[in-house]
Amino acid sequence: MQLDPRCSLLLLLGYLIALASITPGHNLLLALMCLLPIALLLFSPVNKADLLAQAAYVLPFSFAIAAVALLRGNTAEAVFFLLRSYISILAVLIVTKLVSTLELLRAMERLGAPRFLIIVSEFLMRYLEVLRKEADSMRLAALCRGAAQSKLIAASSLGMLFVRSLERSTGIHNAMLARGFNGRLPRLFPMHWRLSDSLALCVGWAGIAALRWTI
Amino acid sequence: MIQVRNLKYEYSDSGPVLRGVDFALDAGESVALLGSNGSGKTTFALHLNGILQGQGEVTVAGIRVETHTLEAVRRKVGFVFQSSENQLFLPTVLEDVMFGLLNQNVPVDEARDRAMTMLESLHLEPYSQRNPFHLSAGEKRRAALAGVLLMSPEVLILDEPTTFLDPPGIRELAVMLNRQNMAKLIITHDSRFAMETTTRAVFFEKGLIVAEGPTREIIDRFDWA
Amino acid sequence: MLTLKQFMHIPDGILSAPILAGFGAASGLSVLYSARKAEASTQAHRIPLLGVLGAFVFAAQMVNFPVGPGASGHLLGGALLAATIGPWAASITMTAILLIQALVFQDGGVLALACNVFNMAILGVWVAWLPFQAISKAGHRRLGLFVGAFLSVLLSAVMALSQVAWSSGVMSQGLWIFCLGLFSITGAIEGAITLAAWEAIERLEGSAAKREQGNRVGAWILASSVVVMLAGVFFASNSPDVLEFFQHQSGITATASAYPALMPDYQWGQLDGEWVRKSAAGVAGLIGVFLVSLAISKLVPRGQQ
Repeated sequence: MQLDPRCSLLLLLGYLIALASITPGHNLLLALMCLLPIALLLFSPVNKADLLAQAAYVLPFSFAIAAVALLRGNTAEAVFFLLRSYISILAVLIVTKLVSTLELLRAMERLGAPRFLIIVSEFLMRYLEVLRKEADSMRLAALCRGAAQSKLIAASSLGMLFVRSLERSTGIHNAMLARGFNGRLPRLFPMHWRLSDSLALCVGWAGIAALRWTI
Repeated sequence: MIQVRNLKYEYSDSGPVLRGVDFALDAGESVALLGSNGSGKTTFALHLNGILQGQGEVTVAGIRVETHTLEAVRRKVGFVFQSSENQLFLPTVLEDVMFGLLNQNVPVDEARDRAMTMLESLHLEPYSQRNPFHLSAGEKRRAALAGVLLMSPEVLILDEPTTFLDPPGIRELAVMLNRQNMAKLIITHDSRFAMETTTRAVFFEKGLIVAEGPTREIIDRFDWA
Repeated sequence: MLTLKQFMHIPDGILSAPILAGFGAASGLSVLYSARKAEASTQAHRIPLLGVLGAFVFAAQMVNFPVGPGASGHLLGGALLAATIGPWAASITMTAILLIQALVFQDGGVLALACNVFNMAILGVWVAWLPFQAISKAGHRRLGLFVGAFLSVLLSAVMALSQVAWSSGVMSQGLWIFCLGLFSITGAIEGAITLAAWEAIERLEGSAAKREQGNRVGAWILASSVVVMLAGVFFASNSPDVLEFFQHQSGITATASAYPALMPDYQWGQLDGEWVRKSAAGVAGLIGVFLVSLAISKLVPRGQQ
């Protein structure tokens, strides 16, 4: 079932808020809340092992918090933070695999995020790989000239990358003008909220709330 | 179709780039702009859709290029920039190709349908939802062309269109351009491409057109092969 | 390897609901306002510039900047953005960066954006901008840039750690002092890299970009309030002030009604560490005053303010 991206985002936020509201000392409740993303993962057309492994990315941060809790003799609290952070990022990963980043950004706009922010984010996404590729080329070119450790090379690379960014943005703007850009970027793909989205949201939120507050 | 009289232009951080250029382009004609790097070819071309506005007179399809006529001029002139990466600035190919039509107040659904038809004609339909970054150089060039052709310009300007293209890609582009009936202005260093796609050439040197004539003749005269 | 800079991108699952709610409200309002100001002051040709500079910041993090034997740093970029495109546009660009980091790279949480945006896109940008502006006016632009970048990283990191501490209660005063030392080093590195990048840009471009006016007074008050609050709690005297002294002497204290105070004795909740409780109360108070002031400024016509 293809949900409106807004519905997916609202469900995710509802789940994360419910998780955030659980205080240390309620590990059993937390464990029960973990069932929701696990169930979603099992029924989603995603690479499950990959996502479970990717979610571990957050663990170094949580380990630091858990380590301090352990040093204070509070093992349950350490486990709590590790588990809550892991399951949070797993939930985010599942949603970002099912809904594209572009759709999530546009869902945020429909839900009230400033359009200007979303437009800037879309341009950022579009040129992220372009600039990274440029930075990589500059890095390789510098290495080929034996400049592995040089403040001057690094600073010059940053400066050149910045200046190229300025030039690129001028080129982009010229291309926009050439095709009639009048200062306003049109909204291209309207989202259509359906009855199934309302049902999914109500059932989803009710399920999260029931698990969180009635157990 | 295009009339240019005594065009002069100077960038703020360098000397004069155009020193009084006169030029004319008839409807349906295809002309190559040849010349060394820095001779003023691209600067000249950017005056034809009002991106730059220097001294002198530029008229496109009977419209004098001035600040208050830019919207009308840009409906007449399609510009394919040298950098497809900069030209395809929206997150997906389909959105980018639609962009020009939406600026012409074409309804979104109609713009989408027309864009998809254009992409299909250029064998780009499988890439419609892709980030343009992930297309090959040839695919990017075709997508950039698609976005411009969709606006039905009366004049098509292409700045170094064969950059980064492999020989089959260059041949394919030449075939596509020769199918288009509008007036064309092609800035290129590729003399073979110029001969395949244009009938006349002008040669730029230090901000002036120093020669014009049949493409083959200009290439031979300036040893531009 | 976990780096100090990663501590600035707080993941989901660490922060408590009250912290998320409070900072979320502050971030949300700030971003809405910054977007309006940035859009109003950004000419059409700069719209792609903000996105491309956001991508630049990502790409710049691939450039290893040697800072010592076997050690290298990376540009974070908040200060450089503020200095080149102005604080409003820089705030929006940094927010966009944080959004993409959270959604695409899971670097920082989605819900935790409430705090990450506040720390790096709002606080981090303004505490970079204000010293840069002030010190530049005195003719020391490079010093201003260094100081701005240093404070940006230091205060963003301190705020991030504070939020984690308030949520988890796992910090001690000794660990705080240790972290402050490390954050100071990170801040100095950021200052050095920012300065080096700025000089390289100026060599290539002259003055790189127009700078825009920000709300100097308001943001200066905010930044200095946070600094004074966080540091001052360390040094505040525990002796009663004059009012408390006379209340006690006159016997008023014994007869005064006991209202249920939100933050009795200027401390918040059962957090571990007096300094933490007092700092939490201080920040909550600041945010409360800011929100009330903002509401008043919106409701009361300008002529009557």
